[in-house]
Amino acid sequence: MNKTLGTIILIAFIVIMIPLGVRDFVTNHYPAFESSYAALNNFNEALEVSTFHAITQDPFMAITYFLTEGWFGWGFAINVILAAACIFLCFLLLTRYTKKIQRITITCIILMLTPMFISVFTGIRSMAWYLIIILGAAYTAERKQYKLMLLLLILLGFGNFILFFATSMILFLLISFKQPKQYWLFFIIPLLWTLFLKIVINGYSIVSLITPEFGYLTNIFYVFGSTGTTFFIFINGLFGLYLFSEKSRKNNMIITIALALFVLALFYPSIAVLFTVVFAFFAGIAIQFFDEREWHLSNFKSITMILIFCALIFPAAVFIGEIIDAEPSDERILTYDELTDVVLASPENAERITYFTGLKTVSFSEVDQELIETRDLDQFITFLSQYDITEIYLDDATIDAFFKSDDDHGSLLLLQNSESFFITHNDNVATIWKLNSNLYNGR
Amino acid sequence: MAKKNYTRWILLFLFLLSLTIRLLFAFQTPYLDHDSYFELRQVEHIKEYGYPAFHDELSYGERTYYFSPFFHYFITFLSLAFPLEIIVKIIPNVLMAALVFLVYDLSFILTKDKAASLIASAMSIFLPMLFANTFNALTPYTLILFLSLMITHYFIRLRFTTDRREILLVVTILIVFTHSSSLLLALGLVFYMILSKIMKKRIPTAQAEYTLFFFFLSVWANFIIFKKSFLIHQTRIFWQNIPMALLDNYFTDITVVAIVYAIGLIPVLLGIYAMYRMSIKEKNPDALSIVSILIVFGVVALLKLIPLQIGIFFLSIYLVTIASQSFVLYFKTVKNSRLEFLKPVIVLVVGLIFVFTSILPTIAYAHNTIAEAPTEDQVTTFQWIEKNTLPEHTIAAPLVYGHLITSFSRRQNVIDNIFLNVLDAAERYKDINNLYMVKFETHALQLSQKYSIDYIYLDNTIKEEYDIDSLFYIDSYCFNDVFNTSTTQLYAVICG
Repeated sequence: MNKTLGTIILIAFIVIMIPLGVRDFVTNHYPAFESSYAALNNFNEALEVSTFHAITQDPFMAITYFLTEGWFGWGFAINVILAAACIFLCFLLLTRYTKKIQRITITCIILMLTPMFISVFTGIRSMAWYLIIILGAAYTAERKQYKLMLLLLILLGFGNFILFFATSMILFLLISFKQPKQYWLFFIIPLLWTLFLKIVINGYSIVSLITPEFGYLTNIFYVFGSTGTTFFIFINGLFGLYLFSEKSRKNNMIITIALALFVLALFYPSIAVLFTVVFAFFAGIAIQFFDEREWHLSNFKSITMILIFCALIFPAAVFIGEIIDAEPSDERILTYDELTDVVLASPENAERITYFTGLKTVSFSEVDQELIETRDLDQFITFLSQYDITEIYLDDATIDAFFKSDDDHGSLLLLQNSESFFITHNDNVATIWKLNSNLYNGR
Repeated sequence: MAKKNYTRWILLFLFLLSLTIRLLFAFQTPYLDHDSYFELRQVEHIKEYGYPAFHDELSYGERTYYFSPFFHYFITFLSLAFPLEIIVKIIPNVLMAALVFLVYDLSFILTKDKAASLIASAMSIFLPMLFANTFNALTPYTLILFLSLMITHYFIRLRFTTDRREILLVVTILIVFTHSSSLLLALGLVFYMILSKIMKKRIPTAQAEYTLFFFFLSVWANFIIFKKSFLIHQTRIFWQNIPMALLDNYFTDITVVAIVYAIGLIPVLLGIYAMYRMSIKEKNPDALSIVSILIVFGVVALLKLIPLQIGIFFLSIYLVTIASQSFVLYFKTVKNSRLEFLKPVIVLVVGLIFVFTSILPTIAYAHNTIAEAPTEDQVTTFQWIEKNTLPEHTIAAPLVYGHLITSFSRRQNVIDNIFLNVLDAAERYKDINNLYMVKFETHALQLSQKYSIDYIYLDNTIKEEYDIDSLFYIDSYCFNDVFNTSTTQLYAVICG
């Protein structure tokens, strides 16, 4: 068992080290994912209010933030340790549910091959900590160490409210089967604490805490661009749910929870983390079942198993490749240095520009598409002045996403043909347009 | 033994009858239907370069396709031995005519009755919409239908025997790499598993294993092929990124009567009765698998996930197959009743209904298809474009002419009916419709500039469709009439 655990942790280490290592040694030293920079910027903003405010808002991000201030490598090192810890906890948790080492191994491998796992432990975000706490809370609940579980839930309350609420609810329902005295307190105490923390101390409103982000399937499946799970794991998970059903009342409760997580994840992207972990477990059950049973169509079995193996490896390999090639490159960072004022840029660039230059940014996604497509110079300049925007950062990806790949589409035509704008920087990475303030002020 | 040979001869006769009728209609026009020219270009590209034109510099100005290429390789392979012009007319019709054998085999498994199976097989020749949309078309659906029936046949056989599983394996791999609609067949089999479980019927292990394999293979293959399209369109990919305006048109002219007319009254009535009788009353597991496939295709067609026409292809062929059970029931009922002496009269009446509701509509649909095929004038105009315009020129024409422009003229079109990976498909669809309806020159010029249009194509069909006598802005000096036939006009956009 110890050998198996060691091997699994080693695989997790390799899965996380490949994108981080290759990216660091071959391409660049900066974190991938827009969300990494968004998290760092958010923490930075909170720090501007006060250190206390920032730490109470997200103490885990504080650890990452202060560690990465000098060098991102510390953040990556912490991530690798957290990934190993995550798999270790997952392994321990699974031993509470099944004695079949093969099933535990398959489940852990499925989990570490999900885009969710890879993205959580290769980005600079606090989600890695949340995942550890969730698994730790589940494990302590299983071992009936309720005080420790309570402490972990309270810690989780410092972070993502929706994730905290869902985890607490799940553990509360599962504990209810064991029926310790006043088990409802395990839900109420952390909930009251978290509401106090978020509303009174951090100043959030209830509405802002529970406002859903309607992404539907795009919240969950990698094929739709999410960093959640893959469709294959989901299908296998459904089959695993079927195999798991009708055994006991507790099993049916777990199935209900799994399906509820699927529904919730359609509205709350952070729930996709829980959903991915739970479905990895059920997918493990299904795959072990396919592998163990004697097939009548024996030649179909080997192809099916190869298909399952490919379907697990393929998205993970593609995703790792995407992370290795992901922006920002050194050349990209150099173009950010050319910026001097409030910038209009794509969401990805906007977060990175704010992080690397400290400049204010407005994202194209916040702008009405009608304004992007306008050919009315006055309307466009009025919009820019409304946000004090004086610079526009454009690259091919931004043009593809917001200008439908059309070189003379909408406001692009204005930039190219009006004297109100001039180019301050242009290379194969990006073009920076600046509003001609003299001309504009004189209008 | 003699009887067995007799059945074979009848089947061979039905095959030849079907093929003859199909080819008689097919060779009434030298051209294929509009959409076939996309497939034809792919076949020509494979012949020339050895691989399909996944990157097309002519469609929508320039775009990338993702599709399963087996059908195109299959046609290319055959065209190495015979002229392509002949192959594209004959092979789809051979595949469709060969359905009589498969319908017979499948019906026979269900009914164990040769007469009923032969009747179903004969009826499968005259399924109006299926006939009309395949006799003059180079489309992967001909191969898909053929392979689907083969898979259904071998799948049902798995209940009794696992021999010939190698054939099933090969056919499954071929269908998965022929067209993405194979996924629906796999879903049909998954639905069969679910239905069987609900109805507490035992599922043979071999069938469950095959379903799992087929489902995984088709899901995996389609995800690999369409991965980028998924990322681009996200959930819109289920509707193939078809513009909403066009999607809404899918059902505007379709009524239940029209669907019955498209499939045929006898197959619909007897098929539905057999579905009810065999799946609900008798709970026949073999029939249940066909019912499941029918339900899946029916539902996805209703949800507009596939064009209704394609849904009707599958519904027609599976309904006529399952309808064979109704003939058996009818034979039994008549035999056990006092009305046996009326059997010839009843057969005659049913036969007459079949003639009026299946054979005549098939002929009517077929004539429509021939009328809608590219005309001599249209082809002449498109060929003139190839000889007299520059390779980088863009030709504007409505959606249906998209593939004719890229195939005959070898020039860029503004729009065609393959919308996957096109970001502004809805906008282009709206704009190209506007181009034919706008009254002011400035608006037309704006649209021309937007898509760098150099020529605007017009013909009598377009005039009818948009209810116009001519383009409203055509008297302007910015548009010059450069080529004319008795039914087509081509205008050059001079002001750029």
